Amino acid sequence: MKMLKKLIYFSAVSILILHLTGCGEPFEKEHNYGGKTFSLLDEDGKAVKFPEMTKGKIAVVGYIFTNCPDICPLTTNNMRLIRDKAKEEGIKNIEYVTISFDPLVDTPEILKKYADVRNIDTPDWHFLTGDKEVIDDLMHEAGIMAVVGDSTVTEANTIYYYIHTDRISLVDEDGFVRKNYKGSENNIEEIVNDIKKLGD
Amino acid sequence: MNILFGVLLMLLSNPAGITLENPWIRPAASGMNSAMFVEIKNGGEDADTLINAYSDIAEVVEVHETYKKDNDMMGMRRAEAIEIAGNSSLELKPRSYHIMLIKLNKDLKIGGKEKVTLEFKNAGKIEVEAEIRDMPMDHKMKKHQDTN
Repeated sequence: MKMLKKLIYFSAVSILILHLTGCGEPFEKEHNYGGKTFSLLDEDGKAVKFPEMTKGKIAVVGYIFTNCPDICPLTTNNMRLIRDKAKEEGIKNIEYVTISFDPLVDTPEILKKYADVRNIDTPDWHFLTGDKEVIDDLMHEAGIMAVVGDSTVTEANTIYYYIHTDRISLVDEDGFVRKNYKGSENNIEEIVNDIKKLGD
Repeated sequence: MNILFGVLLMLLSNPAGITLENPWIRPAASGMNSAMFVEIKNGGEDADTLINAYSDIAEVVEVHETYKKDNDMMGMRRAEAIEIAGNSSLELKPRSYHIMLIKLNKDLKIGGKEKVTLEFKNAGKIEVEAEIRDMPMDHKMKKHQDTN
């Protein structure tokens, strides 16, 4: 009898601790971009506020520069595979956001072409850029590093290649980043399952 | 007769036994960059070296390499030459070696095809026609199988 009482007591305490610390939730809250609002432009040149624009929905956010020929296209393609899989499974209420960390090159027009040439329709997928200071601040809050590495000199200009964080983030309905993944190499099924868990 | 002549010409122009298989190029817009990937097979006894690449679709064509820096940081740099040992193969693939197509002079849209030439130290220049697609063929086939 004493043993049973002890068991009930410890079970009750454990449940209380889990409840108070939020450990029952599928993922910890990583950050909410410093609680800031970033004024950006989408691929059509329309002014948007990030992350406000996705609040009330789950967002899959990728970070790229369009002169990147390998890692960033992989990230973009993986986001497309996540979108395809989520649609197949009937999951709704998701927004997809690709943010450039090279805003001096990646104008809205360039981002529009980047999406068009990949046949990406954009009602639920937004390609964002903005003033360099704003983008730098956003990347700092997101924990994305992007430093200029190698370059190629062409007739007209010099093209810079970034050494950068390879990342896709899962953002909840309140604008909190809940989990990060590699952008170029990840498990699509795992991410879609995580979206389901967040939506529950 | 024409076929025989063609085979003879191919053997003479490629004595080292280099063959290129499954070439593909990522889609990209005019003015931007893309990358070509391909499997290089060296059926000869001697090693050969990829020393250069050419294409009319880009202002500059170079051999590049994607590399991991720290944790989840990735970068890219020019690779001067890539050796392929005798009786072996090397795959230029995502997150690794690739042919960098810099400053494209046309849109590369999914489903299209473009020509790229690779130059080897011994085998000389070999041209391939590469399909434009988002992912390598095996990934595409696997996805297709998964959905069936």
